[in-house]
Amino acid sequence: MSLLKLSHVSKTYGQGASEVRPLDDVTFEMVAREVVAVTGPSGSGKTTLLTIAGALQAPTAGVVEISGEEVQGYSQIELAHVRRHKVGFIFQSFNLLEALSAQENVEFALALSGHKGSHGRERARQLLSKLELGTRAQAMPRQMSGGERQRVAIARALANDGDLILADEPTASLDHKRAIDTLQLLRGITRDLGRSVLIVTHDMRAHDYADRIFWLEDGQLDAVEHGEVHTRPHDVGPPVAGIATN
Amino acid sequence: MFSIAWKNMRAEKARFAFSVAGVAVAALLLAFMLALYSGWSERIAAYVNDVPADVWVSQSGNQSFFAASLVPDKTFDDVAGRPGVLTVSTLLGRSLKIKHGDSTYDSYVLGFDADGIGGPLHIKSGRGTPADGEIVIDDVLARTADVGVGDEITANDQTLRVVGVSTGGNIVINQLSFVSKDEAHRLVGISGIANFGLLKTEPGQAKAVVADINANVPGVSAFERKEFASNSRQVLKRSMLPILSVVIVMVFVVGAVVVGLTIYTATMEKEREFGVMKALGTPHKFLMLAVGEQSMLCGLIGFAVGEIAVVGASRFAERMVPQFVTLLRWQDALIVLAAVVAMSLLAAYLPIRKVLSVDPLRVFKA
Repeated sequence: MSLLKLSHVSKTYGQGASEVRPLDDVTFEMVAREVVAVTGPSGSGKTTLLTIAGALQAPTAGVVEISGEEVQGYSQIELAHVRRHKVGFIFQSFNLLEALSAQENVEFALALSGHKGSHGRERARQLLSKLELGTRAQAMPRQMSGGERQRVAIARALANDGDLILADEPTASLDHKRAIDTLQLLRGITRDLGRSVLIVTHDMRAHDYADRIFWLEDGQLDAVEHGEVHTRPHDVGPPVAGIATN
Repeated sequence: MFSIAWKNMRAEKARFAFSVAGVAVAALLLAFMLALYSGWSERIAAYVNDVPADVWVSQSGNQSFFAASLVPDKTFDDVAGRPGVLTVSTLLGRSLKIKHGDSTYDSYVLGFDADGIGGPLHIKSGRGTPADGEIVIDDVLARTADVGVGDEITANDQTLRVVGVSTGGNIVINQLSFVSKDEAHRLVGISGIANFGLLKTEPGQAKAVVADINANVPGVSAFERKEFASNSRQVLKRSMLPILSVVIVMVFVVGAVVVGLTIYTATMEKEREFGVMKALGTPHKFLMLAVGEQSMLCGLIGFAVGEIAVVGASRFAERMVPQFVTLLRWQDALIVLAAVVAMSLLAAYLPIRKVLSVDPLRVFKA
């Protein structure tokens, strides 16, 4: 079963002379346990693709299917339900809730998907431990490094039971080492947890961790080979310590 | 789960403190106004209520202690002969300027029958039965004017020696002083009339006596003590309630604006985080509750601080200004609580609308 399926999806902003069409009849599919990187020039519509794939906005035309559920025509309440349970988001600037500790940030997402109380707390602790943040669980976001914050954000994205992780420029706010760590972690998630990750990014290093790469420009999404946009030794990274499919 | 609202407020202690202080000041003002009103309501008719008379008789058409009432002594003789009436005592008085040293004070000077009822309620010092040339003054006036037993004061150009200090005669707008009936005639400048008659009736007959006097004695109106006290309180209610209502509305609006502004500003600054929550699929109901809870927490803590402060403020005010009468009642605290809750809900309205309108797509912009 495909985790994400976009069929003839188009998105148009504005009208007449000011009309912009970042997605034009895009058809695309993701299956379990794969990392897909979408790259392209600035303003090409990568984020639009991600937000449509994440049930944050509706396409102008076409069909979006998330984990087997067609979401077109859904109300905002229904779309929010899909996001809570089927999609995990990783943002460029981490977007942790500043008043909450690392553990509480993860607990928050867990609670949204129905894992509340001591069960949620325990699961948040486990997730953070598996991402090597066990000793930083009570730290506030302002007390953490960029890499740590991004790992908390990844733990939050893993909190619900969905199989689809959508990452928007996940390395943009990180230095080289932490960017590589993050990409390895995302790669490990697919391998060890059976999740699939869609990364939209300018960062060519992400291609080295992707199973498939797409180029988005002028509304068209085209598959490209690894060597076509960048060449670098493929490195799937070390296993993510102790992560087990739940 | 933990409370996002509480976490947010703990993370921004200065804003939280400002918001709580705003509500606390509003709650304090509200509670203080109500305490003042309750105190005045209780005190203004306390004398009428506490004097051991079963029935009050006044000039026909006059229903309270604060309206002018002139009744001939002969009419009170007629009243004394009515069935069920045991004794009739009369009061004659007027508001006078009392001079002590270079200062002048207002007091309502009442002349009463030495062998009847209607004198001072409780004696704090000295004695409560003034002879000619003597006066018993209320404790509040004594403290305000710094007058004690043995001092001399002047009223209507007559020198009177203070022989007693009483309590229970502070009726807010004035303090009652007591002289003999003969002294009252001299001070008022008339004789053969009185203002009020205070009746003792046979047990359980007060109602019947009132009906009988109203039906058979021309020129007077009779009231059971409780009714006369209630009528006297109405004078305060009619004059003070509209003013009080305006002040309460103003305080309410100021409180709501203070809380509303701080919550709104806090919400605006957290706009991106609310966008993140929406992107993660947080239901609108949760977001509304988070903002509402924040507003409500500020309100309830502010209420508690305000209620504690009003106890201190009341004591301080009464110590500084003896005429100041406040009464703290749990019923008034409930009114303040209801106002604070309403204030907090109102304050949360715009921030909630703002949160619900946040576009989750904005969090994808760096």
